[in-house]
Amino acid sequence: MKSFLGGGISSLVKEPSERSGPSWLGLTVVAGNSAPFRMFLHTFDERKANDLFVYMRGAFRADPKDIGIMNGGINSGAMARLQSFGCAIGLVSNIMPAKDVTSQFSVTRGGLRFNYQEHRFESVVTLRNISPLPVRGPISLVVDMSSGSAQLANANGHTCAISPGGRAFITLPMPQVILSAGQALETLLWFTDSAGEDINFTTEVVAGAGDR
Amino acid sequence: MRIPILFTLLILAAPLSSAQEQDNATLESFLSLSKEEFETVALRLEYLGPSRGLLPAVAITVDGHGVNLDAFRSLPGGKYEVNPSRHLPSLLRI
Repeated sequence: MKSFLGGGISSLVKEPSERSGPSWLGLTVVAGNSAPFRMFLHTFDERKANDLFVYMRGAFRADPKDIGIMNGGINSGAMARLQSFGCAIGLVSNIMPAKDVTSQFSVTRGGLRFNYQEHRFESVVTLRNISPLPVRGPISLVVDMSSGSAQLANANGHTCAISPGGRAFITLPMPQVILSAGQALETLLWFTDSAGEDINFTTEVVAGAGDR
Repeated sequence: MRIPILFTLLILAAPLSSAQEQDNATLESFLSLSKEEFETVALRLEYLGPSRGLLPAVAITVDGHGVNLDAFRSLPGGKYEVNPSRHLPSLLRI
């Protein structure tokens, strides 16, 4: 957090004279367990807001070589929330989308089962690289459930860079950065808000460091 | 260097005004906080553009530390409430 506050954000807020438009994004920083609290307030115009957003996304990603981050484990919640926020206000329009590799994979769904302990429907999905080429991770499965009332409960986020936006995706844990030809990955999908009979979805597989 | 794990909250508050910026602490002053104090740091991003108010603000805290609502309530115009029907432990709304 210290490098986060002391790095790019500090340089961005030190350039108020360069403001070229109306306030677009407000940044508030507070600290303390009791009053008086320490607080910092600043507003950015749209251009600076974009710079701030790019910086924050980079900081949240941290070390891209970190396997935990690649697997969507670390900061994934913050990334997903920030991505949704940026998507809603149009700050993520110039990003590079992840590569559609659906044609390079077979996606096999296991049967739908009800987990009585967790009170949810589950299904195991297996992704196998059926191409002769390795695929670089991270690899995400986009799950389009727009035709039914069910929701993917364990999504890592919702698509923004990949059209159409708003679809849930889950990033699969990988033992290595590369998934070789013939290798497979498996993940468990959790579904909520459904009686089970209307859990219908289509899938898309995307890969690489691009945005979802 | 990896920053601490973060998680996010959704909150709403009265928008900032330019006058409210006059009472700022400097951002650098946060860097001099003790480790214990620094773990209480929370950030809020609030959309101020057209159709403002429709999108909940996003708050970011150090992982394992919830947002101190008293701190946000101490901001000018800050009126925060916890959504009693929240489904996620990290999700707050007015």
